[in-house]
Amino acid sequence: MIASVEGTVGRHAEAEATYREHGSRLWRSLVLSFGDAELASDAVAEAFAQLLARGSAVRDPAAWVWRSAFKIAAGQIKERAMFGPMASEGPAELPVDLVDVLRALGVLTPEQRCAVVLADYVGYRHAEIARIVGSTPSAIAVRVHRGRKRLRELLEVHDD
Amino acid sequence: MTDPKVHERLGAVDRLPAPDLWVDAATRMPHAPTADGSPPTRRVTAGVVAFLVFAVAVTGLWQAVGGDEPSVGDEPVVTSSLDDLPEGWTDLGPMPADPTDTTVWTGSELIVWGGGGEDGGGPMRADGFRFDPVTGATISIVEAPIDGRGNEVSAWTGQELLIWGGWSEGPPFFDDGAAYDPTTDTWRTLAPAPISARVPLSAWTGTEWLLWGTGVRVDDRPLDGAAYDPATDTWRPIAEGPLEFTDATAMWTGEEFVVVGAALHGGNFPETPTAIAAAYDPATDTWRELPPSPLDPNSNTAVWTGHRIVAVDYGHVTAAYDPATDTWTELGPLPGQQCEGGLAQARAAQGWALVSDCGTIAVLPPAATEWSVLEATPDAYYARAVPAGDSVIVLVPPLGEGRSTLWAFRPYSDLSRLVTRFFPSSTSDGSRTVMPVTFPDGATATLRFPYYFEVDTFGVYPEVSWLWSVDPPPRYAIEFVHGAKASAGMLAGDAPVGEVDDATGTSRELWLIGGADSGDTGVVFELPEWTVVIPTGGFEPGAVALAFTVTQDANRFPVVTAEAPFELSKETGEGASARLTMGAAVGALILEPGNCELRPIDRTEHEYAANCAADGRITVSMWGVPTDYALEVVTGIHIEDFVPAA
Repeated sequence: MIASVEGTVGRHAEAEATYREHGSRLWRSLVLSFGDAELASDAVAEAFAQLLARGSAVRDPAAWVWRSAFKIAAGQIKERAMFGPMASEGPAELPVDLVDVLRALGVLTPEQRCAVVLADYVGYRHAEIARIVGSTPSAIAVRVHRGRKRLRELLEVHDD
Repeated sequence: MTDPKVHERLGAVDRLPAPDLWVDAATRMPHAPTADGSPPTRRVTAGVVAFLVFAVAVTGLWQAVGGDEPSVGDEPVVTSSLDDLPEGWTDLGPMPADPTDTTVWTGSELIVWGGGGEDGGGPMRADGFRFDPVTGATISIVEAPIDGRGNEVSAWTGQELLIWGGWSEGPPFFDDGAAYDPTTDTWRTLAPAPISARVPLSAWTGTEWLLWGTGVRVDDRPLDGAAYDPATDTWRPIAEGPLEFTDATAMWTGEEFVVVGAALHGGNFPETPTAIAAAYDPATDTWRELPPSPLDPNSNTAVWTGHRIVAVDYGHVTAAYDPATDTWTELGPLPGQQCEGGLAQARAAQGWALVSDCGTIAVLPPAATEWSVLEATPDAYYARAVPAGDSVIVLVPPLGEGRSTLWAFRPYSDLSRLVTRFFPSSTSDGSRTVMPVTFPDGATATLRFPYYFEVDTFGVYPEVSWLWSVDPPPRYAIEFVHGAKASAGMLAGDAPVGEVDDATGTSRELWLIGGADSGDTGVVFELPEWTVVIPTGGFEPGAVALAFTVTQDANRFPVVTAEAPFELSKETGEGASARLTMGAAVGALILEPGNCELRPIDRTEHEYAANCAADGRITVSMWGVPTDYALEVVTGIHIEDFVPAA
């Protein structure tokens, strides 16, 4: 019993360490990908709650929680289509440049948006993105390239 | 590699204060899966900045992050080591030894037990091993307290591996069983069962192990059965079934134990006009017969996918049974060659059905009515499939020396990655079917063939055709792949290596193809229904690609037009010729210009060619079917009214 309690405490500490390292970046990535802070918060909290519930069954907590949070957020988006939109506020309190970025991201296809955010905001490699969103590295390469190209046009980003 | 400019702009989000969600995560109970698909109650986190800037395209976004049905409450990802695998096929490497009998997936490892050694013969074993296909860890398990055997039935309860019945090297059968607990590496014998020695049909219900009837052909066809409760190590007899089966598959649907199969008494002679099925309800200890199915009485295999039974007969006719409506619905034919070898196996994962039959592995997504052939399928003629959570494990025996190879297939979240058939429209002129066809080079013709050739088997698959205008042709043929996003799997590298203008002046991306180091490039045309990749032969845009424009006609065929005349190639293999696949009945049609001779393509037993079009420009060839049938088909098919590309 003592060993079991110690194991539970250790896994809780490991999960919290994962949250401290990844939580904010994961939340912001979800905001960029889905355009909804409340949805991002719920997805992050739910993903870490499930991580805690699963304990030692999860061998790579960071990879697991990234994948779970994106999948949970997508599930909520699907439910909105079935049961109506959630109440949400407008972007009035956001920095202007962030609003521009979010609006430009909104023009991309959903596939491109997730791929570009994970590649160019988080810095994940294509293989890592493929595992998060459930695709192949070559497909991600195409999405990143096309999404990035479109985003640069929309944001009027030019190489010096 | 990150784009620094885009990274800088996306970094604007860093000025947004992220809420501390740890307390919320640590104190909330994670959502339980919702059985009816209803949304779980939302718990809005206090103090969170709430905004919504853009409306997302729901369906597309859902596909973007994978999953057919998950919601907030679903089991989101990892429940076992296999859940870290990417979608599609993953080669898990060789098995430590070749399993010949019981092979079950526990959620984290395979347990292999019994059988007659690596070649299936010799003395029957009573031991086995556990194998983690991800880490390669292998653990021997102690001998069971029962005789070694083969053809036993088995089940994984979540805690124990159950074994019962079987035979040593043929009848007489065993009438005992044992249970293995991998957490303690210990066995226990099962209480004596109230049924005779046999190889029964079986299924695990979640609380009971149902054994019934017979899973092999025997003179005495028992209709009795029993249910075993591992929690109390007790058995109870169950009601006698209403039908005799000789070749059947049993499954648990969540409410009923269903047996689907055939009654081939007196050898292979069927005693029923169709495949038969019956269902046992443990709650009422009663059986019911299912309605007649569209399947041939020579039923082959079946599987419960989570919402329907998908069954296949020896003629590759497939059908789905919906318990809610007690009805069968015929599905599209199973692709691939019919071999009637009794090798077909059906398994399910995430609502998908996967059938392995004579080297073809086809899948049926949850809502689909047409099967898809999986790309990059392992060479799996004698494959065995094992359900493994969200994936299906396929064990592929070696063709020669060596170990069995283990593969895992994880269903795609993006269905556009599947290869699906489509059918050019057809009519009838009485005794023949008439099918107008537009070839990828813009040429048109009419296929006429006897009415008894099932037109439904004439599916046109991706990679339908290859054309080229140069001699010798480029290494990579033009590829036509069904699906607007299908190009992604063919392309290599992080980005296009250039852009070129096609014949209309439209800018097209130039991607590496054939691997990142190949040095070969292709121009990508993305159409609504198709992706067409045209090779250029090197980094420099070639005349081949630039000469093309690609559109779709009203039949959704990709139509390639070119400034110069093109001819259809007569070569096969790499850089193969134009072809229309013909589904289950026939291997393929090969279209050749200027060859009207009846001749074998190859001197192997099943490869023959024949026939030519009325104007002498096209020869129809085929392979992969018995000679007499091939000739019958060939002589029955005519290509008429050929109009070459302008």
